[in-house]
Amino acid sequence: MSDDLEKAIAAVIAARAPEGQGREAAVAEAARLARDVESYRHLLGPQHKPAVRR
Amino acid sequence: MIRAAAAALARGETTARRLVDERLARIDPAQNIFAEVFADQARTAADRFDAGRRTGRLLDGLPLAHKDIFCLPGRQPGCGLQPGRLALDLPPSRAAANVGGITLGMVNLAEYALGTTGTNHFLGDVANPRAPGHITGASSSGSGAVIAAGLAFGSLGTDSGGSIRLPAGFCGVVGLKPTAGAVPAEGIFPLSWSLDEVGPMAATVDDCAILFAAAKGETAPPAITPDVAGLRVGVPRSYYLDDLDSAVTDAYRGGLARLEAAGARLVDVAVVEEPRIRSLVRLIMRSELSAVHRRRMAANPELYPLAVAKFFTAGEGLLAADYIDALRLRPILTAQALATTYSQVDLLATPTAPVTAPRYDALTDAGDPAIWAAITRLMHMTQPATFFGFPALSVPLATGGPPIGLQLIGPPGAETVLFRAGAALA
Repeated sequence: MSDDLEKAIAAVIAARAPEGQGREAAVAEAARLARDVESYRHLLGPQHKPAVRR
Repeated sequence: MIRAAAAALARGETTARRLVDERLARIDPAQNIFAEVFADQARTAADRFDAGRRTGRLLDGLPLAHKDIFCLPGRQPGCGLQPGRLALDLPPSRAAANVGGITLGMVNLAEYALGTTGTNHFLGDVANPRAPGHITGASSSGSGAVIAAGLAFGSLGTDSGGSIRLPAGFCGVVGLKPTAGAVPAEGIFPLSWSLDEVGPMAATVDDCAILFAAAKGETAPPAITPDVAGLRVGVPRSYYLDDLDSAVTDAYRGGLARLEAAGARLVDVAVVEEPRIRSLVRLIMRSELSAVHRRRMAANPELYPLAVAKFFTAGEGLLAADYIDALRLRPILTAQALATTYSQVDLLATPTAPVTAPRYDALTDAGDPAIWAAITRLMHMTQPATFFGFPALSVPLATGGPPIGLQLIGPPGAETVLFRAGAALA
């Protein structure tokens, strides 16, 4: 799960952010934030579905 | 200090020109506090005041210096880079116009208001006048330092997660992050528009209250009394008191004892705060940072040193859905905080930071994970009130060493209560 998330985020960052601007640290940070917001899913109501990364 | 100086001006015991000249003469370039000094303009404004051209504003005739993220008429802010290096087109700040006074100059900050220490990769570190060699805290580093150095009666800063309260705590001055939206934020370069708040920094609680009133556009001076009789002061049961430096614990307990001795009632209280709430703040900030800066960062990477760029880059990996969820959680968790904590107490008292100001030379390698953890830990106390949009005041505590701040957090609109409690600690 976490590997898939980090891979998905890394692919997006690689496509969008310039080289050499802290990509590795940024991937770890973005994955942590995405996991933490997802952990509050129960507060968002029964209609809420997890965000899907393609 | 502001009331006394205004009274001295009114009685003719001093002049605005003297107040300006005294401060201009004491500016030490080695402290690196000012991004730009407006010496000629300040003297001209002082002479106009002394010639009888009064505006009737609360800070009329008094020297001020604001964070260089506020647009002034005819001058775009440097935002922590050399003035003019960023091509901006902001409207003049309404808060700065409301405050008036005599602007001595604009003071330094972390690049783009993004940072917690006082380090600036373009302009150098700002010295902490109260603790030489130690960080000022940031991002309103120059605002904390200019007050601590006695070079201005007040400074407007911005706070999107601790940027007023940390430098207030580490420089031994008073700083307020107001209730969300209480002070107009137009005319500042945004760090994160959902979180940015404009707020005052000053030498005393009374001065801070006057600046706050002025920034909102009020013209009557606020009445602040150090009256805490019966006030319910919350002592958090969790989160805020985890893993504090011993000096911070001692100063914090001393502050609580002083409030209790003044008549406040200390109440052990539950809080909803936990580390994941800090993640929500960071998620909103990273997403909005990316929206503000992504095109400029791609076109001009030289404007984004690595230690800064990685904040922005993380935002590129987040989904719009993550950002929207974080925004949707904001009112839900804020309602929980109000029900859990502020139904039981009038305000919550916490340290402003879990540690005393580290030394600059202990934080030089931000690529070291341990140092990075130490830097991000600085915002442990301040980010939750940002997420909730609650007002939070940092006031100096009595210490035998580097300054330590006490953070007083209240429900929306509770600034006067916070000022009363802060004044009781003076």
